[in-house]
Amino acid sequence: MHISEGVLSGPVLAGGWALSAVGVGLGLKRLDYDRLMTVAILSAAFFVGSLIHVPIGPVSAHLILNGLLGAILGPAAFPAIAVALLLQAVLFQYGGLIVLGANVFDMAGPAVACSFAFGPLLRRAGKARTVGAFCCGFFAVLLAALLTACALALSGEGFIATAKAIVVAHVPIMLVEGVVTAMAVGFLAKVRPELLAQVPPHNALGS
Amino acid sequence: MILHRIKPVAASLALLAVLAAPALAHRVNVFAYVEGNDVVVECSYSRSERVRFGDVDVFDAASGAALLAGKTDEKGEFRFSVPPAARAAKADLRIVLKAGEGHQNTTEVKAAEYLSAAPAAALADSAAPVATPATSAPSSPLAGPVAAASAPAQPGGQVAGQGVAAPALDAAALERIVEAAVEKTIAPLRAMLVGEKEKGPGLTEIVGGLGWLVGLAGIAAYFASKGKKPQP
Repeated sequence: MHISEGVLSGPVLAGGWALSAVGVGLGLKRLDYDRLMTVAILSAAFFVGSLIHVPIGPVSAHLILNGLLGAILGPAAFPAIAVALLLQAVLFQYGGLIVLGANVFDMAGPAVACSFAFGPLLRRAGKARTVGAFCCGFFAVLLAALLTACALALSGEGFIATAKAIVVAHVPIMLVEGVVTAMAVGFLAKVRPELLAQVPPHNALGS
Repeated sequence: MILHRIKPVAASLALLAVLAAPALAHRVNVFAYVEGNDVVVECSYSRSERVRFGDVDVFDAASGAALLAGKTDEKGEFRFSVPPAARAAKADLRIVLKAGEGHQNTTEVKAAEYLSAAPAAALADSAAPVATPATSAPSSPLAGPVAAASAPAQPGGQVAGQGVAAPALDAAALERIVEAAVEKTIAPLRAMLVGEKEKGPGLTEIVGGLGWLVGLAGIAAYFASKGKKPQP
Protein backbone atom coordinates (compact mmCIF):
# COMPACT_ATOMS: atom_id res chain seq x y z
CA MET A 1 0.00 0.00 0.00
CA HIS A 2 2.98 2.29 -0.47
CA ILE A 3 1.88 5.00 -2.88
CA SER A 4 4.59 5.63 -5.46
CA GLU A 5 6.21 8.93 -6.25
CA GLY A 6 4.49 11.07 -8.84
CA VAL A 7 0.99 9.66 -8.40
CA LEU A 8 -0.54 12.12 -5.97
CA SER A 9 -1.33 15.74 -6.74
CA GLY A 10 0.34 18.68 -5.01
CA PRO A 11 -2.42 19.56 -2.51
CA VAL A 12 -2.79 15.93 -1.43
CA LEU A 13 0.96 15.67 -0.87
CA ALA A 14 1.00 18.88 1.15
CA GLY A 15 -2.03 17.77 3.17
CA GLY A 16 -0.37 14.44 3.89
CA TRP A 17 2.76 16.18 5.15
CA ALA A 18 0.78 18.58 7.34
CA LEU A 19 -1.33 15.85 8.93
CA SER A 20 1.69 13.62 9.45
CA ALA A 21 3.70 16.43 11.02
CA VAL A 22 0.89 17.06 13.51
CA GLY A 23 0.58 13.35 14.24
CA VAL A 24 4.31 12.87 14.74
CA GLY A 25 4.46 15.94 16.96
CA LEU A 26 1.62 14.75 19.17
CA GLY A 27 3.04 11.24 19.25
CA LEU A 28 6.46 12.48 20.36
CA LYS A 29 4.84 14.56 23.07
CA ARG A 30 3.10 11.50 24.45
CA LEU A 31 6.28 9.44 24.25
CA ASP A 32 8.01 9.08 27.58
CA TYR A 33 11.48 7.80 28.30
CA ASP A 34 10.44 4.38 29.59
CA ARG A 35 8.67 3.46 26.39
CA LEU A 36 11.40 4.58 24.02
CA MET A 37 12.80 1.10 23.41
CA THR A 38 9.36 -0.40 22.93
CA VAL A 39 8.66 2.20 20.27
CA ALA A 40 11.96 1.50 18.54
CA ILE A 41 11.40 -2.25 18.56
CA LEU A 42 7.88 -2.00 17.21
CA SER A 43 9.10 0.45 14.62
CA ALA A 44 11.59 -2.21 13.60
CA ALA A 45 8.80 -4.78 13.46
CA PHE A 46 6.82 -2.50 11.16
CA PHE A 47 9.92 -1.89 9.05
CA VAL A 48 10.46 -5.61 8.55
CA GLY A 49 6.77 -6.51 8.42
CA SER A 50 6.27 -5.15 4.94
CA LEU A 51 8.83 -7.65 3.67
CA ILE A 52 6.63 -10.55 4.69
CA HIS A 53 4.36 -11.39 1.83
CA VAL A 54 1.19 -13.33 2.13
CA PRO A 55 0.36 -14.93 -1.21
CA ILE A 56 -3.38 -15.14 -1.81
CA GLY A 57 -4.22 -16.53 -5.21
CA PRO A 58 -2.88 -14.25 -7.89
CA VAL A 59 -2.10 -11.32 -5.63
CA SER A 60 0.30 -11.09 -2.79
CA ALA A 61 0.12 -8.43 -0.14
CA HIS A 62 2.49 -7.76 2.67
CA LEU A 63 1.89 -7.55 6.38
CA ILE A 64 1.42 -4.03 7.64
CA LEU A 65 1.28 -4.35 11.42
CA ASN A 66 0.00 -0.82 11.90
CA GLY A 67 -2.84 -2.10 14.08
CA LEU A 68 -0.35 -3.85 16.34
CA LEU A 69 1.65 -0.66 16.71
CA GLY A 70 -1.49 1.28 17.49
CA ALA A 71 -2.63 -1.28 20.05
CA ILE A 72 0.65 -1.26 21.94
CA LEU A 73 1.97 2.26 21.39
CA GLY A 74 -1.12 4.42 21.09
CA PRO A 75 -0.25 7.88 19.72
CA ALA A 76 3.45 7.00 19.78
CA ALA A 77 2.71 4.72 16.81
CA PHE A 78 2.87 7.84 14.65
CA PRO A 79 6.60 8.59 15.01
CA ALA A 80 7.36 4.86 15.00
CA ILE A 81 5.61 4.36 11.66
CA ALA A 82 7.04 7.60 10.25
CA VAL A 83 10.63 6.54 10.91
CA ALA A 84 10.05 3.02 9.59
CA LEU A 85 8.46 4.32 6.39
CA LEU A 86 11.28 6.81 5.93
CA LEU A 87 13.80 4.00 6.14
CA GLN A 88 11.75 1.84 3.76
CA ALA A 89 11.63 4.70 1.27
CA VAL A 90 15.35 5.37 1.48
CA LEU A 91 16.62 1.79 1.65
CA PHE A 92 14.02 -0.23 -0.29
CA GLN A 93 12.64 2.46 -2.60
CA TYR A 94 9.16 1.61 -1.35
CA GLY A 95 7.07 4.72 -1.88
CA GLY A 96 9.25 7.80 -1.99
CA LEU A 97 10.40 10.81 -0.06
CA ILE A 98 7.98 13.38 -1.48
CA VAL A 99 5.01 11.12 -0.99
CA LEU A 100 6.17 10.08 2.49
CA GLY A 101 3.82 12.44 4.30
CA ALA A 102 0.75 10.91 2.70
CA ASN A 103 2.00 7.37 3.23
CA VAL A 104 2.73 8.04 6.91
CA PHE A 105 -0.73 9.43 7.52
CA ASP A 106 -2.40 6.60 5.60
CA MET A 107 -0.73 4.04 7.85
CA ALA A 108 -0.36 5.79 11.20
CA GLY A 109 -3.66 7.67 11.28
CA PRO A 110 -5.75 4.48 11.35
CA ALA A 111 -3.37 2.92 13.89
CA VAL A 112 -3.89 5.74 16.36
CA ALA A 113 -7.62 5.95 15.61
CA CYS A 114 -7.98 2.23 16.37
CA SER A 115 -5.98 2.56 19.56
CA PHE A 116 -8.47 5.15 20.77
CA ALA A 117 -11.50 3.24 19.52
CA PHE A 118 -10.50 -0.13 20.98
CA GLY A 119 -8.33 1.09 23.85
CA PRO A 120 -11.01 0.45 26.49
CA LEU A 121 -11.42 -3.14 25.25
CA LEU A 122 -7.65 -3.66 25.18
CA ARG A 123 -7.28 -2.65 28.80
CA ARG A 124 -9.77 -5.24 29.96
CA ALA A 125 -8.81 -8.81 30.59
CA GLY A 126 -9.70 -12.04 28.84
CA LYS A 127 -11.88 -12.29 25.78
CA ALA A 128 -12.55 -8.57 25.54
CA ARG A 129 -8.86 -7.93 25.07
CA THR A 130 -8.56 -10.52 22.34
CA VAL A 131 -11.55 -9.07 20.52
CA GLY A 132 -10.16 -5.56 20.91
CA ALA A 133 -6.78 -6.57 19.59
CA PHE A 134 -8.30 -8.39 16.62
CA CYS A 135 -10.40 -5.33 15.80
CA CYS A 136 -7.32 -3.13 16.11
CA GLY A 137 -5.43 -5.21 13.56
CA PHE A 138 -8.42 -5.64 11.27
CA PHE A 139 -9.76 -2.10 11.19
CA ALA A 140 -6.36 -0.40 11.07
CA VAL A 141 -5.70 -2.12 7.74
CA LEU A 142 -9.22 -1.47 6.47
CA LEU A 143 -8.98 2.22 7.32
CA ALA A 144 -5.50 2.43 5.84
CA ALA A 145 -6.84 0.93 2.60
CA LEU A 146 -9.69 3.43 2.55
CA LEU A 147 -7.38 6.36 3.28
CA THR A 148 -5.04 5.25 0.50
CA ALA A 149 -8.00 5.04 -1.86
CA CYS A 150 -9.06 8.53 -0.70
CA ALA A 151 -5.61 9.97 -1.41
CA LEU A 152 -5.67 8.39 -4.87
CA ALA A 153 -9.24 9.52 -5.51
CA LEU A 154 -8.35 13.11 -4.62
CA SER A 155 -5.56 12.88 -7.18
CA GLY A 156 -7.69 11.62 -10.02
CA GLU A 157 -8.22 7.88 -9.78
CA GLY A 158 -11.86 6.94 -9.29
CA PHE A 159 -12.56 6.32 -5.62
CA ILE A 160 -15.00 3.42 -5.79
CA ALA A 161 -12.98 1.31 -8.21
CA THR A 162 -9.69 2.00 -6.45
CA ALA A 163 -11.11 1.48 -3.00
CA LYS A 164 -12.71 -1.78 -4.08
CA ALA A 165 -9.48 -3.07 -5.59
CA ILE A 166 -7.38 -2.12 -2.57
CA VAL A 167 -9.86 -3.31 0.04
CA VAL A 168 -10.53 -6.61 -1.71
CA ALA A 169 -6.80 -7.27 -2.05
CA HIS A 170 -6.36 -6.57 1.64
CA VAL A 171 -9.25 -8.55 3.11
CA PRO A 172 -7.01 -11.55 3.80
CA ILE A 173 -4.39 -9.22 5.21
CA MET A 174 -6.98 -7.71 7.52
CA LEU A 175 -7.83 -11.14 8.85
CA VAL A 176 -4.18 -12.14 9.20
CA GLU A 177 -3.33 -8.86 10.90
CA GLY A 178 -6.28 -9.23 13.25
CA VAL A 179 -5.10 -12.68 14.28
CA VAL A 180 -1.45 -11.60 14.53
CA THR A 181 -2.38 -8.58 16.64
CA ALA A 182 -4.65 -10.63 18.89
CA MET A 183 -1.92 -13.22 19.40
CA ALA A 184 0.79 -10.64 20.01
CA VAL A 185 -1.33 -8.70 22.47
CA GLY A 186 -2.43 -11.87 24.24
CA PHE A 187 1.17 -13.01 24.48
CA LEU A 188 2.38 -9.68 25.79
CA ALA A 189 -0.48 -9.49 28.28
CA LYS A 190 0.73 -12.76 29.75
CA VAL A 191 4.46 -12.10 29.62
CA ARG A 192 4.88 -8.34 29.86
CA PRO A 193 1.58 -6.78 30.88
CA GLU A 194 3.23 -3.44 31.56
CA LEU A 195 3.85 -3.05 27.83
CA LEU A 196 0.13 -2.83 27.28
CA ALA A 197 -0.43 -0.24 29.96
CA GLN A 198 -0.44 2.39 27.25
CA VAL A 199 -2.73 5.17 26.26
CA PRO A 200 -3.83 6.52 29.66
CA PRO A 201 -2.52 9.91 28.58
CA HIS A 202 -2.33 11.42 32.04
CA ASN A 203 0.32 8.84 32.95
CA ALA A 204 2.40 9.46 29.89
CA LEU A 205 2.24 13.20 30.14
CA GLY A 206 2.89 13.24 33.85
CA SER A 207 6.22 11.50 33.75
CA MET B 1 16.41 -4.53 33.27
CA ILE B 2 15.30 -2.99 30.02
CA LEU B 3 16.93 -5.87 28.19
CA HIS B 4 14.82 -8.25 30.19
CA ARG B 5 11.70 -6.41 29.25
CA ILE B 6 12.31 -6.40 25.52
CA LYS B 7 13.33 -10.03 25.24
CA PRO B 8 9.98 -11.46 24.09
CA VAL B 9 9.51 -8.69 21.56
CA ALA B 10 13.05 -9.15 20.32
CA ALA B 11 12.43 -12.87 19.93
CA SER B 12 9.35 -12.32 17.81
CA LEU B 13 11.23 -9.73 15.81
CA ALA B 14 14.00 -12.20 15.09
CA LEU B 15 11.35 -14.63 13.89
CA LEU B 16 9.98 -11.93 11.61
CA ALA B 17 13.44 -11.30 10.17
CA VAL B 18 13.91 -15.00 9.42
CA LEU B 19 10.52 -15.20 7.73
CA ALA B 20 11.37 -12.11 5.73
CA ALA B 21 14.46 -13.54 4.08
CA PRO B 22 12.84 -15.16 1.01
CA ALA B 23 10.09 -12.59 0.68
CA LEU B 24 9.66 -10.38 -2.36
CA ALA B 25 9.53 -6.65 -2.75
CA HIS B 26 6.32 -4.76 -3.13
CA ARG B 27 7.52 -2.15 -5.48
CA VAL B 28 6.79 -1.85 -9.14
CA ASN B 29 9.69 -2.21 -11.55
CA VAL B 30 9.89 -1.07 -15.13
CA PHE B 31 12.79 -2.03 -17.35
CA ALA B 32 13.12 -1.01 -20.98
CA TYR B 33 15.58 -2.14 -23.62
CA VAL B 34 15.99 -1.83 -27.34
CA GLU B 35 15.54 -4.82 -29.60
CA GLY B 36 16.15 -4.06 -33.24
CA ASN B 37 13.71 -1.38 -34.21
CA ASP B 38 11.52 -1.86 -31.14
CA VAL B 39 11.64 -0.83 -27.53
CA VAL B 40 10.60 -3.57 -25.14
CA VAL B 41 9.25 -2.59 -21.73
CA GLU B 42 9.16 -5.22 -19.00
CA CYS B 43 7.01 -4.50 -15.97
CA SER B 44 6.89 -6.47 -12.77
CA TYR B 45 6.14 -6.27 -9.09
CA SER B 46 8.66 -8.96 -8.39
CA ARG B 47 10.32 -11.82 -10.18
CA SER B 48 7.25 -14.01 -10.24
CA GLU B 49 4.63 -11.34 -10.40
CA ARG B 50 4.18 -9.52 -13.69
CA VAL B 51 2.20 -6.34 -14.10
CA ARG B 52 -0.64 -7.62 -16.27
CA PHE B 53 -2.47 -4.98 -18.30
CA GLY B 54 -0.69 -2.05 -16.68
CA ASP B 55 -0.87 1.27 -18.48
CA VAL B 56 2.33 2.33 -20.20
CA ASP B 57 2.74 5.89 -21.43
CA VAL B 58 5.67 7.02 -23.53
CA PHE B 59 6.75 10.65 -23.48
CA ASP B 60 9.40 12.73 -25.10
CA ALA B 61 11.73 13.18 -22.13
CA ALA B 62 12.76 16.69 -23.10
CA SER B 63 9.45 18.28 -24.09
CA GLY B 64 7.10 16.00 -22.11
CA ALA B 65 4.90 15.50 -25.16
CA ALA B 66 2.97 12.24 -25.12
CA LEU B 67 4.12 9.98 -27.93
CA LEU B 68 2.09 6.83 -27.47
CA ALA B 69 0.31 4.74 -24.88
CA GLY B 70 -0.46 1.09 -24.43
CA LYS B 71 -1.03 -1.74 -22.03
CA THR B 72 1.25 -4.54 -20.95
CA ASP B 73 0.32 -8.06 -21.96
CA GLU B 74 -0.08 -11.20 -19.86
CA LYS B 75 3.66 -11.42 -19.34
CA GLY B 76 3.97 -7.81 -18.25
CA GLU B 77 5.58 -6.88 -21.56
CA PHE B 78 4.85 -3.96 -23.83
CA ARG B 79 6.59 -3.57 -27.17
CA PHE B 80 6.49 -0.54 -29.39
CA SER B 81 8.48 0.74 -32.32
CA VAL B 82 10.07 4.12 -31.85
CA PRO B 83 7.85 6.72 -33.53
CA PRO B 84 9.52 8.19 -36.63
CA ALA B 85 9.06 11.70 -35.27
CA ALA B 86 10.97 10.84 -32.12
CA ARG B 87 13.63 9.07 -34.18
CA ALA B 88 14.06 12.11 -36.39
CA ALA B 89 14.28 14.45 -33.40
CA LYS B 90 16.67 12.06 -31.61
CA ALA B 91 14.40 12.37 -28.57
CA ASP B 92 15.04 10.50 -25.35
CA LEU B 93 11.99 8.48 -24.36
CA ARG B 94 10.50 8.59 -20.90
CA ILE B 95 8.41 5.51 -20.16
CA VAL B 96 5.91 5.72 -17.32
CA LEU B 97 4.23 2.61 -15.98
CA LYS B 98 1.02 3.03 -14.04
CA ALA B 99 0.19 -0.25 -12.40
CA GLY B 100 -2.82 1.13 -10.57
CA GLU B 101 -3.55 1.58 -6.88
CA GLY B 102 -0.81 4.12 -6.53
CA HIS B 103 1.93 2.02 -8.07
CA GLN B 104 3.95 3.88 -10.63
CA ASN B 105 7.49 3.90 -11.92
CA THR B 106 9.47 5.56 -14.66
CA THR B 107 12.39 4.63 -16.82
CA GLU B 108 14.16 6.29 -19.70
CA VAL B 109 15.51 5.12 -23.04
CA LYS B 110 18.18 7.41 -24.40
CA ALA B 111 18.08 8.30 -28.06
CA ALA B 112 21.63 6.98 -28.46
CA GLU B 113 20.42 3.54 -27.38
CA TYR B 114 17.78 3.04 -30.04
CA LEU B 115 19.68 4.94 -32.72
CA SER B 116 22.75 2.77 -32.38
CA ALA B 117 20.84 -0.44 -31.79
CA ALA B 118 19.05 -0.42 -35.13
CA PRO B 119 21.44 0.91 -37.71
CA ALA B 120 20.60 -1.73 -40.28
CA ALA B 121 16.89 -1.19 -39.97
CA ALA B 122 17.37 2.55 -40.08
CA LEU B 123 19.47 2.12 -43.20
CA ALA B 124 16.81 0.12 -44.93
CA ASP B 125 13.97 2.34 -43.74
CA SER B 126 15.22 5.85 -44.24
CA ALA B 127 18.83 6.11 -45.30
CA ALA B 128 18.57 3.90 -48.37
CA PRO B 129 15.84 5.86 -50.21
CA VAL B 130 17.78 9.03 -49.58
CA ALA B 131 20.89 7.41 -50.93
CA THR B 132 19.25 6.10 -54.07
CA PRO B 133 19.27 9.34 -56.06
CA ALA B 134 22.98 9.55 -55.44
CA THR B 135 23.50 6.14 -57.00
CA SER B 136 21.20 7.22 -59.83
CA ALA B 137 18.72 4.39 -59.29
CA PRO B 138 15.12 5.05 -60.37
CA SER B 139 13.00 6.36 -57.49
CA SER B 140 10.02 4.09 -58.16
CA PRO B 141 7.99 2.55 -55.28
CA LEU B 142 9.87 -0.64 -55.90
CA ALA B 143 13.14 1.10 -55.22
CA GLY B 144 12.93 0.66 -51.40
CA PRO B 145 14.02 -2.91 -50.95
CA VAL B 146 15.88 -3.00 -54.21
CA ALA B 147 17.86 0.04 -53.23
CA ALA B 148 18.64 -1.42 -49.85
CA ALA B 149 20.07 -4.43 -51.59
CA SER B 150 21.81 -2.60 -54.35
CA ALA B 151 22.96 0.51 -52.52
CA PRO B 152 26.04 -1.18 -51.17
CA ALA B 153 26.89 -2.23 -54.68
CA GLN B 154 29.00 0.87 -54.95
CA PRO B 155 31.04 0.35 -51.77
CA GLY B 156 30.86 -3.33 -52.70
CA GLY B 157 34.09 -2.72 -54.50
CA GLN B 158 35.80 -2.10 -51.22
CA VAL B 159 34.27 -5.18 -49.66
CA ALA B 160 35.30 -7.28 -52.59
CA GLY B 161 38.75 -5.82 -52.33
CA GLN B 162 39.08 -7.09 -48.80
CA GLY B 163 37.70 -10.57 -49.26
CA VAL B 164 37.13 -12.13 -52.61
CA ALA B 165 35.56 -15.21 -50.96
CA ALA B 166 32.49 -13.22 -49.77
CA PRO B 167 31.24 -11.36 -52.77
CA ALA B 168 27.48 -11.31 -52.07
CA LEU B 169 27.64 -10.07 -48.48
CA ASP B 170 26.40 -6.50 -48.49
CA ALA B 171 26.76 -4.09 -45.62
CA ALA B 172 23.12 -4.17 -44.54
CA ALA B 173 23.03 -7.96 -44.35
CA LEU B 174 26.29 -7.96 -42.44
CA GLU B 175 24.89 -5.46 -39.96
CA ARG B 176 21.86 -7.65 -39.45
CA ILE B 177 23.98 -10.72 -38.84
CA VAL B 178 26.20 -8.92 -36.36
CA GLU B 179 23.17 -7.49 -34.66
CA ALA B 180 21.59 -10.91 -34.29
CA ALA B 181 24.82 -12.34 -32.92
CA VAL B 182 25.25 -9.51 -30.43
CA GLU B 183 21.61 -9.81 -29.43
CA LYS B 184 22.14 -13.49 -28.71
CA THR B 185 25.23 -12.77 -26.64
CA ILE B 186 23.78 -10.03 -24.49
CA ALA B 187 20.36 -11.62 -23.93
CA PRO B 188 21.47 -13.44 -20.76
CA LEU B 189 23.23 -10.31 -19.55
CA ARG B 190 20.04 -8.38 -19.97
CA ALA B 191 18.04 -11.01 -18.16
CA MET B 192 20.55 -10.71 -15.34
CA LEU B 193 20.11 -6.94 -15.24
CA VAL B 194 16.35 -7.30 -15.11
CA GLY B 195 16.68 -9.84 -12.32
CA GLU B 196 19.00 -7.54 -10.42
CA LYS B 197 16.51 -4.73 -10.66
CA GLU B 198 13.62 -6.91 -9.58
CA LYS B 199 15.37 -8.27 -6.55
CA GLY B 200 13.89 -7.15 -3.28
CA PRO B 201 15.89 -5.46 -0.57
CA GLY B 202 18.84 -7.55 0.47
CA LEU B 203 20.06 -8.45 3.92
CA THR B 204 22.34 -5.40 3.91
CA GLU B 205 19.43 -3.00 3.59
CA ILE B 206 17.29 -4.82 6.13
CA VAL B 207 19.98 -5.04 8.76
CA GLY B 208 21.03 -1.50 7.97
CA GLY B 209 17.51 -0.26 8.54
CA LEU B 210 17.24 -2.09 11.85
CA GLY B 211 20.57 -0.61 12.84
CA TRP B 212 19.27 2.84 12.06
CA LEU B 213 16.26 2.30 14.28
CA VAL B 214 18.39 1.10 17.17
CA GLY B 215 20.73 4.03 16.66
CA LEU B 216 17.91 6.55 16.59
CA ALA B 217 16.43 5.04 19.74
CA GLY B 218 19.85 5.28 21.38
CA ILE B 219 20.19 8.93 20.46
CA ALA B 220 16.69 9.66 21.70
CA ALA B 221 17.38 7.77 24.92
CA TYR B 222 20.57 9.74 25.41
CA PHE B 223 18.84 13.07 25.10
CA ALA B 224 15.86 11.94 27.14
CA SER B 225 18.16 10.77 29.94
CA LYS B 226 20.03 14.09 29.90
CA GLY B 227 16.80 15.93 30.37
CA LYS B 228 15.78 13.54 33.11
CA LYS B 229 18.85 13.64 35.28
CA PRO B 230 18.26 16.87 37.15
CA GLN B 231 14.89 15.54 38.34
CA PRO B 232 15.97 13.26 41.20
